[in-house]
Amino acid sequence: MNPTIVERHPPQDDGYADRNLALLERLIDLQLADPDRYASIPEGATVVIIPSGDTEFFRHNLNLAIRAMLAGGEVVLLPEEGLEDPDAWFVVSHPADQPGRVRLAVTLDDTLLRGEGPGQLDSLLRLIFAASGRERLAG
Amino acid sequence: MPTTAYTYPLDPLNWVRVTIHIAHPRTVTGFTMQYEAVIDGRTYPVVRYDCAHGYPHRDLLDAEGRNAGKLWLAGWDVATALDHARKDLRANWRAYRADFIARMTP
Repeated sequence: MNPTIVERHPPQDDGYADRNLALLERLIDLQLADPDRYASIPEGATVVIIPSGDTEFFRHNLNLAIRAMLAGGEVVLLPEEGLEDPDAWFVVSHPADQPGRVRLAVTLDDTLLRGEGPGQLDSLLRLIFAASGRERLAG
Repeated sequence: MPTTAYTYPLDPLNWVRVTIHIAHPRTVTGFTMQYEAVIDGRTYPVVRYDCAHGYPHRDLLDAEGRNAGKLWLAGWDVATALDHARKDLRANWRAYRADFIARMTP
């Protein structure tokens, strides 16, 4: 077997992709029902829904958000419980615009992998926004 | 006319790019849904549903971004095509990824 081909496949299928697809479908349904509400999402942004009620899934998606933030562009965080409430959304600036803050974001990533949970969402978001620059999307 | 365009990560190796154009009050007038795979550290568009060229269709893409197969959704309205795209990607993204990798393999 060619080992290069094996590496092209995901190392394991943990089911989070399917769960994220379900969340994306919910978001699209909400967009179709109330398009003006979602028109404020910046064009070309990376959108990550922060799930509630499942610590591992929460950690997975917060890690995705941090990876996207480090990769560049704007990242919009939509708490699952606040999908319909623009006041609950945040757009996080790209830390490359603030290079002194990248190290802190990476440290946060390691911390998250070790085990923060949904109960700490507010404090975690505050730390992330402090690391990368924070701006409410609406309100 | 509200338009939203964003990317959504499913996991570190799988993404969906979404653009939806909606006319008032709630009519979908155009869309793009594109599944993208990260393979060997590079992001590839794998399959794209959109309404370019006047009709909804699905494009299968190869590693160079060339069209490897077009499926016209002739006679479908935009909203129906969007609904189909969502269902198809949800059901088949793994297969699209595997087929794309198979097409890459010399």
